[in-house]
Amino acid sequence: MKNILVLTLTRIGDLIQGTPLIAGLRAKHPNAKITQMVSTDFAEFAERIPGVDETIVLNLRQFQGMEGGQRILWVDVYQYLEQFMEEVKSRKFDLVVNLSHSKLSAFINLYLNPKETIGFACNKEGDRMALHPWMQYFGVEPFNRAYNPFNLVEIFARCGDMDPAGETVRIETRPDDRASISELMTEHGIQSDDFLIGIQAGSSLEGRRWPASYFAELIDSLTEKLGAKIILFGVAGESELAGTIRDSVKNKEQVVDLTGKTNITQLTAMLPQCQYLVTNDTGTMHIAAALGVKIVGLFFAHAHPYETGPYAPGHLIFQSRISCAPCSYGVACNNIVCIHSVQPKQVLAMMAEHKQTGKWEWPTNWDTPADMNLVKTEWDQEKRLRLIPLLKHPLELADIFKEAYFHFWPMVLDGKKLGNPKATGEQIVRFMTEHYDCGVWEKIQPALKRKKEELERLIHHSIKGIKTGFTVLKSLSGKKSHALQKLIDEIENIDEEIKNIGLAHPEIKPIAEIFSKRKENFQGNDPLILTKSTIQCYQRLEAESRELLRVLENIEQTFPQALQNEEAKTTLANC
Amino acid sequence: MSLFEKNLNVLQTVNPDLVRRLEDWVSEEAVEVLLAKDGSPIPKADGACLHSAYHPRDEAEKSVAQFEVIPGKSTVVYGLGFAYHLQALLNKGVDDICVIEPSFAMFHAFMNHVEIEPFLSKVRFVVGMVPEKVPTACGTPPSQWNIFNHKASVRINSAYFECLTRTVSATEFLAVSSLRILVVNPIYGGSLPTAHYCAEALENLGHTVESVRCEDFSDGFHAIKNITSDKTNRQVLDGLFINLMGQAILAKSAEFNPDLILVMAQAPVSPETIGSLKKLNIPLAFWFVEDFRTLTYWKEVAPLYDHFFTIQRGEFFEELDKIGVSDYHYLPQACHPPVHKPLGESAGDCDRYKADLSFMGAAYFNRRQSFPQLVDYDFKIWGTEWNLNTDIGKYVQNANKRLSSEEIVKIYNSGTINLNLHSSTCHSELNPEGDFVNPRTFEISACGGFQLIDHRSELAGMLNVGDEIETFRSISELKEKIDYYLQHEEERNRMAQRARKRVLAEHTIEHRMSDMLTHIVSRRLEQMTERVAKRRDPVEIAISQAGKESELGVFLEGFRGTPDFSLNTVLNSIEKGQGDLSKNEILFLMLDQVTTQKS
Repeated sequence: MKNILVLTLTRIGDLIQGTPLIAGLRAKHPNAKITQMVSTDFAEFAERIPGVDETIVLNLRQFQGMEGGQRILWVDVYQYLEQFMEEVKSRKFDLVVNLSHSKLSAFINLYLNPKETIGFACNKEGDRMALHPWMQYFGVEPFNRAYNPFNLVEIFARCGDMDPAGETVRIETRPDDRASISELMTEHGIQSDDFLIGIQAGSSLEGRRWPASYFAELIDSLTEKLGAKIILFGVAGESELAGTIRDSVKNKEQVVDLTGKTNITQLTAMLPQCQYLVTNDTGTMHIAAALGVKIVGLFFAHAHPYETGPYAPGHLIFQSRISCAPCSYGVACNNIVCIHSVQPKQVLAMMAEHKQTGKWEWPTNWDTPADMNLVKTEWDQEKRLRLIPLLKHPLELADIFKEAYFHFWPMVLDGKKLGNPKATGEQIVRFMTEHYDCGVWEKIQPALKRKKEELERLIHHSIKGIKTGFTVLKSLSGKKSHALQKLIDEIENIDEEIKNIGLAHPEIKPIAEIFSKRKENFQGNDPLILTKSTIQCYQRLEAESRELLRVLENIEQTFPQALQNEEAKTTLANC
Repeated sequence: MSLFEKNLNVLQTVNPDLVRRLEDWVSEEAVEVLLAKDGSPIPKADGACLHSAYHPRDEAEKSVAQFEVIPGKSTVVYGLGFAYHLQALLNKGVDDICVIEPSFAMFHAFMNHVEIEPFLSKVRFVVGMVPEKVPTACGTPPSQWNIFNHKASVRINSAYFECLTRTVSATEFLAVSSLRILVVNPIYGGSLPTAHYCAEALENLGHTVESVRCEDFSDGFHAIKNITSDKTNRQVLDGLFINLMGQAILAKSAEFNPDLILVMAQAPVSPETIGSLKKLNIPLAFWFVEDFRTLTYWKEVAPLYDHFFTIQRGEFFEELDKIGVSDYHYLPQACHPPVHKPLGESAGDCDRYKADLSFMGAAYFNRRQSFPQLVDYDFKIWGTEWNLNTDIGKYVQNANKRLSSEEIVKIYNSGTINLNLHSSTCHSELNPEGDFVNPRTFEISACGGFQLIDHRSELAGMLNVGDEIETFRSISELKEKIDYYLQHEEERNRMAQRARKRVLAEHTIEHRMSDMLTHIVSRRLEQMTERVAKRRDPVEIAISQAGKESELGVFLEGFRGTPDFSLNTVLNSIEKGQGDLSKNEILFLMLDQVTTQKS
């Protein structure tokens, strides 16, 4: 492997969340040249991604505002794309890693025709494909968010066949970074011993923003009670928002508005001056995470900490727990009430406690708010990053499945079985009893039983699929075309059943959808190859369903004993 | 037997329609006929002889001597006179001649003095036809014409032949040009289907057509009356609605940039909208498919349009002259054969529509008054606005619900006799002065249905009464004919078949649209030619921008001639394609993503 291209055209966050993957690629292919392709908006920042030898910029910004006039704009854009793609193609990439979901990136990959692709792609006829099991998972994840326990960092890293254990996101810092802000600090009266707290109040999507009035209220408390000096970060477009916040606070002299005043170098130097960054889910948050700044993340609307939370231990994340949070994929909410689930006094309390003790702990004398999730990031024993709930909410079926999937997917997507399902079941139950109110287990158990039955049905259909597949193989050698058509119809019916089980039971939908994703990857028209691939898909579905069933059975078996133990512990404690 | 009668008999065998028209022709001024020195009869009109007063045959031989016969082309002669030049042409070996004579007076004189029989096998006579109809009547397209001018005839009919020349040019232009035409539909009502048919017909004629679908807004328009019962406030709301529609029409016009805007009767186009549309310098035509005596809004709008088409003439034309309408033209209603067609055995539920006597239409005053006389028949009434609590209420089949075109076609197909009584708001039976012919007349015939229709003065010019269609002048006469035709199935069928043949040949919306365009283009040929020439093919622009030799340029060559070419044209062609994507196709798919992201 000599020449690798990483396509990251979507977000600044993806660039940063892809850094462990790039580190992995670099380790795996130490002599390869790694190139990344980014869009103009991220070109400056892309230079900070470690392990990359070269950055190619897709510059579509040059065409902005060029509509009208005598020329046909699309002809110009076409010719630019042609020239650009020819140049990129001439580099003859061996491997393209596509970290974008977009069709554009799939077509770019098709044009480049690399020897190998990982990620979203399309075949020569333009049909969608997801190449690599974890990219197939990445493809179904947005539609099964409630059951996803993996940060994109982990998903991306696993796409590179690397173990994410202990990995964190990284960006390059440079010796002259600090010098770039000395003037800025002097100009705004920032002292090196100031207790600085950064605030990133904006975000690319307005709906994800915590209200300006809440930021203002929080700033007043932070300045008054913790003696903090506040730095408002953001791009120029967020200056108006920053102005609104600054206008609303009492201690204006304690607030420095740097929105639109920092380039990437200055931002990279300025963020580490802060002890905390209070932020919506933004690119700034990921940069801060990479620089080791403690993050107080505010996740609303589509933002989901399990996908895009800061990938390092020691951070805190607030998220709304109302029934519609996070927003479903593709939804544009017109009444974003989730931003009110988190109140400034709650953020302040957590930060004050952390400043004093270095721990993220919910005040013991406060009730658990039903509409808020509060998690901290932490390594588990295997150095995998976990989101640890700090509020003990009543256990829900989704929590069990999410936790089960945390153990399940890394094994089955590698084609393995869980080494010790009993131990895994115990591990899951332990996590549940530690971090959830499991008093509701008896109510959940029948629902879990039902899901197990549905898994049995999945197994039944996959076996039926396997048998039908083998019958097809037999009939391919004969000449009974009408019989063949009947079998193909039967396979379609089986697939429909599998899909419907997934639709009716969201908890196991990820399994059904991965099955479909795999089938999307089928290539060519050779009935023999297609049938063999179909059989393999059913075999994997059967194996995965059985594996998840085993996990659930172990959870079911372990729970009563664990609950008794918990009860005993509580009784002892009360004594 | 006089020569005229002899000629008439001979002509009857090859051109009965011309005979009928000649018989119907009312002599206004007779043509003076003199004898030349050689004893030959020669006509004199406008104070001038149309042939030599000495030797008309010699003169004719000389005049055709220079005429060059072009193989593959038809000889078309402008002007009949007494046909000495025709004879000379035949003598020269020219056959397959079409002679165009504007004056029935001249033709009448010809029939009185010249034996027609020697001409009939090789000459087609086109007499007294409006210029727009001449190309069709000639049977060959003008591009195939090799014209011989009978100068004396052309001189005395200069206006007619100038108009014919323009018409011929327009026809030739339209044969090779595709116009962009915007049809503005009404919000609802009887002219709405006509608007749809017009758009389809124009497309069938090879033009690029878009419609402003005002009918999509009908619920909103009708909802206004539920808002308030205060008349003044309602008028304000209606006005605002019409303004909105006007803006929609303007927006559509600005984007589509048509060569012609055809506004249908009842379309929500205010004088203000017309004023704004005129600033776009696009010709505006209006088809007023209404009775000008019943609906009088034409007075406000007719002068504002560039071309005003009517289903009535005579008195209406006088009225239009009075208010300064610069261009008006008679364009009667018609049928649309893709919709109006015999259903044969295919119509499964036609039994529901079967009846001895069937009527489809709204409950106008004269129908309400006269239909009770018909209750002794197996009578089915279909349509709207009927009072179901009256004597004839129980004959109404559809409880006043609006019927689809498909259902109406079933009704026309299923009635043994289709009654076609033109509406009147002030006569208790039928309007004895009724002139225009409703679309139902043609639609029933196109469906192969048999109909009895009230007498209309314009009908005879379109269908041969007694042969192709049967009329009545009173309800008692109607009843007599119902009784007769119920007993004579064969006659009914024969008449219906003849009517259908004629209607398909002459009275479809496609014919009307062709006439309309010929009329318009003949009056603005230069402007239309310039518009079409200026409208550079977008494929050409794209190719020249990309570079003719570039890969993109070569790829785009395949899209030449695609109407309304745009990026989407290419993208759609890729979606429809199969097999491996080419390099160009991949780039276009990328481009699609890029432009989608940008928008």
